Amino acid sequence: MKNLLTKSILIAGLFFGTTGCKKVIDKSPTHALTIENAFQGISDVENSLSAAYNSLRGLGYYGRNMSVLPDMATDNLVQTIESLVNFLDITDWIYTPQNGTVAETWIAGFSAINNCNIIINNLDKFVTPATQTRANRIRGQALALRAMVHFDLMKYFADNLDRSSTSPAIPYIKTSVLESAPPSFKPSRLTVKEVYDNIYIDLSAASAAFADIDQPINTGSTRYKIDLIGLNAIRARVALYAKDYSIAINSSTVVIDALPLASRSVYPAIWRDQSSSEVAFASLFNTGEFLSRLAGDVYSGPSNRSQFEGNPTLFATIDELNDVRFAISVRRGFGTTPTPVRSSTRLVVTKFLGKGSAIDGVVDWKVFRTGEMYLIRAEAKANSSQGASGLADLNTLRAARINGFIAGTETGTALNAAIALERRKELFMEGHRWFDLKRTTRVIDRGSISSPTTQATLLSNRREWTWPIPQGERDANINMTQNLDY
Amino acid sequence: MRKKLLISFCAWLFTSTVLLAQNKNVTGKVIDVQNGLPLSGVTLSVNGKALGVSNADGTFSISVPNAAKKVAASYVGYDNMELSVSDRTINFRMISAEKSLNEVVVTGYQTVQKRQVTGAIAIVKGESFKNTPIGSFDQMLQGQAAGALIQANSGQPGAAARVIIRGVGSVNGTTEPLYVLDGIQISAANFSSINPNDFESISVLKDASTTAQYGSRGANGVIVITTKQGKAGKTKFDYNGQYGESRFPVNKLVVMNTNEKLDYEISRGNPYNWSSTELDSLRKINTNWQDLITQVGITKNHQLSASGGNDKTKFFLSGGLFDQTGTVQKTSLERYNLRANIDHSVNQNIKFGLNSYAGWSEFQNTTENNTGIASPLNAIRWSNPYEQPFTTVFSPATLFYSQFTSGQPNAFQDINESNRSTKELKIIASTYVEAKLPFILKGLGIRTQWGVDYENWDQTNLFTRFSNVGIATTGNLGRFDKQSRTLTRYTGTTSLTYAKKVGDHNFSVGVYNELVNRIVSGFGFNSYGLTGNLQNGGGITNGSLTFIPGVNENRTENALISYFGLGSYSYRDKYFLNTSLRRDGSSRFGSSNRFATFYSVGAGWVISDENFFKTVRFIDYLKLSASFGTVGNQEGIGDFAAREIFGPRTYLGVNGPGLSQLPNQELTWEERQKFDVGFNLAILKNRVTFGFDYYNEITNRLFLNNQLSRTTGFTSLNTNIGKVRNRGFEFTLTTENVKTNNFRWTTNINFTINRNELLELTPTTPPIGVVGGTTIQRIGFPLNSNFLVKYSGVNPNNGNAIYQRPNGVNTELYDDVNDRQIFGTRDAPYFGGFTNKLFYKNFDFSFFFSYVFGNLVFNNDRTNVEDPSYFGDNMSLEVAKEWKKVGDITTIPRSTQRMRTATTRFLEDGSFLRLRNVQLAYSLPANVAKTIKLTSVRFFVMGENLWTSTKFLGFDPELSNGSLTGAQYPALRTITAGLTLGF
Repeated sequence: MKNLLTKSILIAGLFFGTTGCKKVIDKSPTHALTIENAFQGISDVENSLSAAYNSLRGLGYYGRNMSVLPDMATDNLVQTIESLVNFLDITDWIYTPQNGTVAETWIAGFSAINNCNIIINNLDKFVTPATQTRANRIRGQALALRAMVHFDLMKYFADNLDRSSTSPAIPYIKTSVLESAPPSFKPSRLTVKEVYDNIYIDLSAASAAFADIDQPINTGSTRYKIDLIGLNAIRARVALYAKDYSIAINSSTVVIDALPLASRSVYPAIWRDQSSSEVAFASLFNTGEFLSRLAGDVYSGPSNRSQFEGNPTLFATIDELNDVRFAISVRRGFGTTPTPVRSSTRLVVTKFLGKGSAIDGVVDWKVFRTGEMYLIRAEAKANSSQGASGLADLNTLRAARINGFIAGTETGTALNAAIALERRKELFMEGHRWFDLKRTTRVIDRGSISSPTTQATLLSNRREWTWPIPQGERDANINMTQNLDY
Repeated sequence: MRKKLLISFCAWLFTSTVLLAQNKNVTGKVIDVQNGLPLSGVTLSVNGKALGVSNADGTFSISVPNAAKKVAASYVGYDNMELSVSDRTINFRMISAEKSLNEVVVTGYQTVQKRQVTGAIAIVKGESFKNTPIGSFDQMLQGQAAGALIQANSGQPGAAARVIIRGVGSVNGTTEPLYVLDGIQISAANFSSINPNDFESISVLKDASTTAQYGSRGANGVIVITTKQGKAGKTKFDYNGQYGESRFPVNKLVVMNTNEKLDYEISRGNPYNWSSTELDSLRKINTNWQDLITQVGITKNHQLSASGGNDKTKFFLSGGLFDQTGTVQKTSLERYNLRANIDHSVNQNIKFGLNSYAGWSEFQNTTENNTGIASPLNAIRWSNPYEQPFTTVFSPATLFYSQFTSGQPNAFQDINESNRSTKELKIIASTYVEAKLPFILKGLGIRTQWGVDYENWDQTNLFTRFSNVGIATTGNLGRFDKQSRTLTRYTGTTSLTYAKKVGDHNFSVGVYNELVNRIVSGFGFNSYGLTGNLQNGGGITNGSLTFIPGVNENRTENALISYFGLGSYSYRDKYFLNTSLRRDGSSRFGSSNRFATFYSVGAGWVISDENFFKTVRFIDYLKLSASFGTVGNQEGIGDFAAREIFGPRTYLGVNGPGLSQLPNQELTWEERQKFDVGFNLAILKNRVTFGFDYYNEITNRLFLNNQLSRTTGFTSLNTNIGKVRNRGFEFTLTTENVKTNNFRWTTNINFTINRNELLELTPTTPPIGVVGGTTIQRIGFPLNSNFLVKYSGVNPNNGNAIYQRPNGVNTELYDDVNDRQIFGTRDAPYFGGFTNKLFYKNFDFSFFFSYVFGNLVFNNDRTNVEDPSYFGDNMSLEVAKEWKKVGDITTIPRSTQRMRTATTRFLEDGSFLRLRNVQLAYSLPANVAKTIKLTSVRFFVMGENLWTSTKFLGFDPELSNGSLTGAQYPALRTITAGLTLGF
C-alpha cells in the first residue's frame, strides 16, 4: 500500500510537474524578429534599408497615391465608362477628412519615415571608426529618404508651398516610434517654411554623409537606391517648389551632367525597364513580390480595363509622328485581349505596361529622370532672369524627344507656358500634374465631361487644393489642426 | 493495510445489514420504457438510502425495510421513479429524461444532474439536429439555445456561422465561444470535417459558474460536445440514409432586364454608341445570369454505427459520408468520417478510454461577400442581360467565352475555368485514465486526459489560362496557388478529486492542472504559366523569368497553462454551492503580465423541495440559482501580441527587418465579469416548464485599438482599455399542449433580449468614439453601431441628394465629419426560436422557426447596383426612377451627382423569421419491424430553410457581421428524404 501511495503521488507529481513549469508559456516568434534579435550588427541596419525602400511601394505611395493619382485628379486623364469609380471622390475633388485614400497616403508616408528613423536610431550603436564609412552610406540614404517623404506629404497636405510660407504643413518626425512613447506622441504641424528648413538640413546631412562612403550605393547602371545623384534630384525638385531657383539650378545640373538625356531610340526602352538611361532614382517593382500593378487603376493590361485615358486635348498638342513620347504615353485603340472593348475610340495609357514585352503593369516607378531635371532648370532659370538659358534647356529637351524639332524662341510668359506644357508632355503620368497646377495656376478645367466624371472645374479658391488632415489623425492627436474649410 | 481496509468495509456492511434486520427481499427489473431494453446500474433506494443497483440484464434484488412503502429508482439520464412496495416484485419502466428537468448536463470534466447546476446552461440534444442537411454543425444550433445568436456568413456547403453567446463582449479579442469535444478544445468555425450525427448532446455553458472550469477561455461561453458512447448489452447497429435537393432562393434585389437596361443606357447618353441595328439585335437577348451559374444542389448522407459492449468494455463505432453540392456551380462539400469510442474498466477502480475521430473533407467554394468584379454572385447582378456567355468566334486566349463590352468579367467563364478547393484531414483524439483511490482515501480519484485536435488543411486555387484571373495574373497564362497549413493543438488535463458524503452533506473538491498548446505552421506558393495542355499544378512553367513563383512558409505557437480548484457542496440535494478559483498563464502576454486569477461562486436552491412549499400544489418544481465570477479571454489577438515584431521586408533581393507591430508589454487578459440569476419552474404536472435568466456581463480591460497619431507610422496600439456590458434576459418555455394515447403535441420556445453598451473607452479617446468605416464604438451605445449620414431624399428642383443634419435641418452638403449619427446596432438585440412537435400514432411532425429582430444592417451590395457611375454594367431596377427633370418626386438622385454610400439610404432592417426546419416522419410499429428482422425503421422527409420572411434586399438576410459587402451565398433551401434503420 505504501508502495502504491508513493506511486500515486509520483504519478500525480509527474503530471503536475511536467506542466507545472512556467517555461511552457515562454514562447518566442520563430518566423519574425523582435528587438532582441533584429539588429545584431551594422549589416542588419543596412538590410533594414529594404524596409524603408519597400514601404514606398505600397498603394499609399508609389503603388498609386503618389504616382498615378496626381494625374487621375487632373486634366491629364479622362475617366471612362470602364471605370470602377473607386477614386471618384479624389478625382472629382469631393473628399472629406474621412476619405480612405487620403488616410492611406498619410499613413504610408509616415510609415516610410518611421522605417528611416528606425535605421537612423539603430545605426549609432554600431558606428566605430572601422564602420564609419559604411554607416555614412546607410545614414545618407535614410536621411535623404526621410526628407523626400516629408516633402511628398507636404505637397498634398499643405496649402501654399512657397519657401517662406506660413501655411500649416506636417510634423517633421525624427524619432522612431520605438523611442517616442506612441500613445502620448502628439506632434503639431510645422509651417511649410519649417518643414523646408528640416528637409534642407536632412539633405545637407545626407550629402555630407555621402561624401565619405565605403563603396558605391548603386552598382551597374541601375539606380534603385538614393545616392548623391538621387539626392541632388530630390533637392532640385524641392528647390523648384520652394522657388529657391539657384539651388534648383545647381542641383539639377549635377544630375544632368551625370546622366545625359536618352536618345530617341533608347527612350522607349526606359519604359520597358530595358534601359536605365537618365533615371536618377527608380523604385523597383518586380514580379513575384506581390506588388500592385503600377497604373493598374488607369489601364490594366491583363484585364484590358481602361479606366482612365489620355486627355485628347493634351495629346492633340503632341506631334504623334515625330514626338517619341506620344506612342510611349498612349496608344490609340489599344487592347491586350483579342476582342478589345470600345477598341477604336480608346486612347489607352501604355506608359507602364510592363517590363520587356510584358503587359502585367509591373514596372519600375521612375521617381527622378534627367528629363525632369531639364525642365526644373529651365523653369528655375526662366524665373530668375536667365530666360535665354532656360529656353536653351527647354529646346535641348524638346530636340531630344522630337524628331526634326525646330528650336523654339519663347520668352517671358510664353516661355513659362511652354515649360508648363512641356512638363505635361514629358512628365505625363509621372505624378506631377496635380502639384504643378497647385503651385502655379491653381485652376483645373476639364472642358466637357461625361459620366462617371461629375466635376468639370476646380477653381483656385477651392479648399480641395489642399488635402484634409485625415479625421483619424485628428481624433487621435489633439494637436493636429485641420486645413481651412474642412 | 489493504486488507485492513477491506475488513473494516466488510464490518460496515455487516453492521448496516444488522441495523436493517427487519427487512424483506424485493426483486424486479428495470427497463427503458421507450425501447424496452434493460437498464443496468440503476440505483434503488428507500428514503434516499441506496440499497443496491440493477444488474446488466436490468434485474435487481434488494433488501427493503418492512416499514418502507416506496422504492425509488434513479439513473443518470432518466427521470426518477418511485413505486410502492406492495409486492415482492416490482418492475420499473423508466422514462428517458430528455427535455425534462432531471436531464444530465455535461459541463466538461463532470457530468451532473441539471438540478445541481448553479448557472445557465442550454442543452441541445443530438436528436434535435440529427440528419439536418448542413455541413457545419454550428449552423444547426441557430435558434436552439437561448442566449446564443448564431448567424451564418454564408450558405456555401460547409461554411461556418458566427456564434455569439450573450452578446459581443470583445472588440479585438475573439467573440467565438470555446468549443470542447470530449474534453478536447477544437478549433472554432472549422467544422466542415466533423460529423454532427456522432454527437450525443451539446451543452452551451454561459455563466461564470458553469464556464469556471474553462475560465481561461470561457469568456464568450463554452460549447461542450459529447459524442455517443457505447452502451452495454446486445450490439446495436444503426443506419441513416438521406437524399435531397437544394434550390437557389428568389433574388429580392431586382435588376434590370435587357429592355430596361438599354432604355436606361440611352437615357444616360448611349455610352456604348449602340446603333439602332445593334439595339434591335440586343433587345432580342435576355440572359438570366442567375440561372446560368446556379444549379440544383444535391445532398447525400449515409451513416452506419455500431454500439455495444459488456460490463467492462463498451464501444461506439461509426462511419459516414456526407456529399453536398451547393446551389452555385462548383461549390460542394464531400466528407468521409470514422469514429471509435472505447471505454474499458480494468476493475472497479481503474478505467480508461479512447475517443477518436478522423474526418476528411473536400470543400469547393466560390468567392462571395466582396466587391470583386470576378465574384460569380456579384456577376448575377452586374452582368448586362444583353450579354451572352458564349460567342461563335473562337479566341485562343479566351476560347468561346464572350468578353463583355463593359469589361465586366464573364462569370460563366470564371466558374468554368477556375477551381477553389480545400482538402482537410481532421483528427480529434483523446485518451484518459482514471483511478479511484479508495485504498488511500475513499472518494479520492485521479484522472488524466490528453488529446489532440489536428488539422491538415490543403487549399488549392486553380485559374486556368482561359480564366479572367488567370489572364490578369503574372505572366497572363494562368495561375495555380497552393496553401498548406497544419494545426496541432494538444490539451492535457490532470486532476485529483475527492468526494465525500456526510449525512445530508455532499462535498466534492478537485484540483486541476491544464495545458493547452497550439502550433500552426504552413507553407504555400503561387505559381504561374500554365502554358501547355495541362491546366493544373502539373502545368506550371518553371525556370522562366515571366513566371517567377512566390513562396511562403510560417509558423506560430501559443500556450496556456492553468491551475485551478473546483469545489461543490450540496445539502439534502436541495441547496447547492459551486465555487472555483484559478490561475491562468498565457504565452501571448509580456512576462510580467502573463498570469491572471479568476474565480466564481454559484448557488442553487430547489425551493419546491422545501416542506413549506409542498402546499403550493400547482408548482411541481422551482429552482432558483445565481452565480457570479470572472472568466478570461486572450484569444483573437496575435500569438505575440505584446511584443514588437520585425517582419521580413525585401527590396532589391535583400531581406531586412521592418517594424510591423508595436510592443505593449502591459497587455494582459481581458476579463469578463459574469453575473447570472435565474429560475426554473415546472407546473401542471411538469407539462409546462419555464426557464428564466437575467445576466449582466461586463468585460473589463477590453482589448481596444488605442488610436495613435499616424505620424508614428501606426494607426493604433492594442491596449487593455475600455469596458463593455452585455445584459439581458433569456426565456425558455416548454409545454406539452396535448397528451393523449395517440396524440402528443409539444412546443418549445426560446427568446433572448441582449443589450450591449460600451461603458468606457480610454481617457484620451475623443468623445466621438472610435470610428471604423461605417460603424462607431462610442460610450453609451452598443458596439458596432451604424454611423452614417441621414439620407432624406431628393430635391425635386435639382435632383440633388438631401441629407439631414443632426439638428434636423436638411442640407444638400454631404458632411461626413459633422453630420454622421448613430443609427441602431448591427448585432441583433432580440432573437430566438420555437419548435413544435406533433406525434400521432407512428407519425411525428415537427417544425422549427428561428428569428432575429431589432438589428439594422448596412447593405453595401446595393451601392454597387445603385451607383449611377456603374451604368456601364447592370443596375438595380430602382435606378430607373432616378431624378431626370425639375419636379420629379423620387428617392433616387440625379445620375450626374456623386452617390454617397455612407448614408442611411443603404441601411436596412435585418430582421427575419425563418422556417429553419420542418420534418415529417413515420416509424414502423416495432412488431412490424421485427418481421423484417429490424428493431426500428423510420422514414422521414425534411425541409431546411424553406420559407423566410424578411424585408432585406438581398439573397439572404442572415449576415454575421451586419454588413453585406457584396452578394452573399444564400442559405441552402433543401428538401431531403431519408430513412433510419436499427438492427
